Amino acid sequence: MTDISVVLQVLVSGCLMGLIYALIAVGFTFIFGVLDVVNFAHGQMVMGGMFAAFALYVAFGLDPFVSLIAIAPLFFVLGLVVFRLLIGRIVESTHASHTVVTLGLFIVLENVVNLIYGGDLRGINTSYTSRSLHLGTVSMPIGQLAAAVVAIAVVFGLTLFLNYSSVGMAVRAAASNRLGAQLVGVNVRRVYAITFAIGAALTGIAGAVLAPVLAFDPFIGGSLMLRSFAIAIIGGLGNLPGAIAAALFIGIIESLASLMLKGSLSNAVTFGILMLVLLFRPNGLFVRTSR
Amino acid sequence: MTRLAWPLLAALVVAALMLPFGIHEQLLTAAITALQLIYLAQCWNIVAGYAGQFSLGHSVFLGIGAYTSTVLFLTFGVSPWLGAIAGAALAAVAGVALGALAFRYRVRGVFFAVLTLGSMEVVRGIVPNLDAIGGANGLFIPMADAPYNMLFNDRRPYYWIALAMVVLMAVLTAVMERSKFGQYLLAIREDEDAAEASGVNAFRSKLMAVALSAALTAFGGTFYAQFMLYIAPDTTFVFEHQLNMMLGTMVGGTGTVAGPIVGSAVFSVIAEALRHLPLGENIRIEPVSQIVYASILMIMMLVLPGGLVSLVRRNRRLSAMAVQGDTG
Repeated sequence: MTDISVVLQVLVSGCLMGLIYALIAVGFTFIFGVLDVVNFAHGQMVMGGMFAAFALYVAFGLDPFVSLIAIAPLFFVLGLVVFRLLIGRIVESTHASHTVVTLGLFIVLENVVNLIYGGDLRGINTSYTSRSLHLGTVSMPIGQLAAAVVAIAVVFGLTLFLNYSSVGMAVRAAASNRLGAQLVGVNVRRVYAITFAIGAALTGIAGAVLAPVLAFDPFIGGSLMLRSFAIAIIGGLGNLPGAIAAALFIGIIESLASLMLKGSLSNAVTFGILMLVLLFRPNGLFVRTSR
Repeated sequence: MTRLAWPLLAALVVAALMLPFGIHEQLLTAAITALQLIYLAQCWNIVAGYAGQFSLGHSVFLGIGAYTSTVLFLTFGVSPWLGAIAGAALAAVAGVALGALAFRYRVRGVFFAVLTLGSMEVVRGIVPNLDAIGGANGLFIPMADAPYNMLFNDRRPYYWIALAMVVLMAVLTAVMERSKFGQYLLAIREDEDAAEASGVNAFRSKLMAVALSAALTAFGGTFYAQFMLYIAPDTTFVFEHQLNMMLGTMVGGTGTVAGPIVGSAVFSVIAEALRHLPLGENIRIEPVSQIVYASILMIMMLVLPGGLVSLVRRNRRLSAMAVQGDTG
């Protein structure tokens, strides 16, 4: 039978993978929580970050952990542009139009990258890609560890920003009560634009950090988005610590499932959980109240 | 205008019937594909356009139709004409099961969209592991000239079948729109709570819409299998079909009889035009056309949410409401 070291390895791998998912899901749940927009293009924005890191690596040999310093502000600005052109025009509209417009953005991103780079699987081979840290029998790939550290730092930073900066407080005000925030002088549209731009910057960071860890192609975004959605719902909408816990949960479940089931079946498990949560615990696993 | 509409429509149908005698083989294939896209968009329109339930999982129903008739045909020699009915029944059952859960637990708006999208991913994850129905490799239907089994060497019968499906579907949609059931659906789409308050059984009506739409989509799946002669998890349970249904319906006009027909036809013409575009050696047509489609979709949502038909319809506010109304 499976011995204890295998189980331990699965748990550790699951946690690391979960933190990586958390990095992707945090931006998603942040945008969802504040704007009430489900950004179907979120996973493809992460994919864009991966290819941005890939381009900088190929052109200048920049390590993704260095190039994210350039990618984050670039994606912040791109986020502002996308908000101005698309999201800002439909943010007041229905979920149906959010869905259609962000799906449109999804397809455009996927195919622009496909046009430039083709559909092949890519990866970034850094000096640490194949190295691991060993703790007893458990091994932890350096790249995943570093990505996990960035994930924790990003969530910590975002929490500080929301709780202690004046813009962050305006964001929270707009998220909890739009009209009330407007009444006390918050420029809600500006808050929305900044929120979306921060979410975009987070996708850029996530993409850069994940590029050495995951093999990627222009089509990776769809499953990343659905996982983000699952994590956002399980963690409770807009709840950042909840998102981390949910991401760990999904990471461990997937790690267990891939140990016991064939590849495509473990995908079915993830999305089966998504369906169950949507049906039975739409407010998240960690909330006692039902709707 | 209205008095002229019916003779005009009849003339159009006759012209469409005669079309295969006048065009090239390649164009005929494009026409069949176009009709297939129109039909599937019409099916999705019932749930998303009229009932306001934004399903993103209709590829599942298409796949159920394709797989049911094909497995019955290959394993038991059952004619796909009959297999299509079995597929439709099975798709309706699947639709009712998913719908009953979703509506019972009040999964609405974007949550319903993601729930249905998730169902597609689950099915797509499971089917490759079922070797009895072809596993990941899929199923081939041997080429034959057997009208009894919905197989033709000549392409024209496929065209006429697809045309008949589109025309019947247009009639069905028009009848439904005028029926009590259609009015219930519109009421639910505009304001579900208000509809319930005025005595509409929203749960039952939505469920019937899903069942109807799923069964009809499954017919499209059987036709797809008989026309392509090959089905696999990666060609049926994929988002691409869902996307085509959405593109055609939303660009044409959601919740209208003519919308899916106009929209999908426009996209088919654009697709054919793009194919003849001189792009040069290094640029592939597939991504370019996808970018064009998605851009059209986004621009339409921003400037003309009622779709193309809202340009000519008198009650354009009504169709615009299909996408702008309270569906969240």
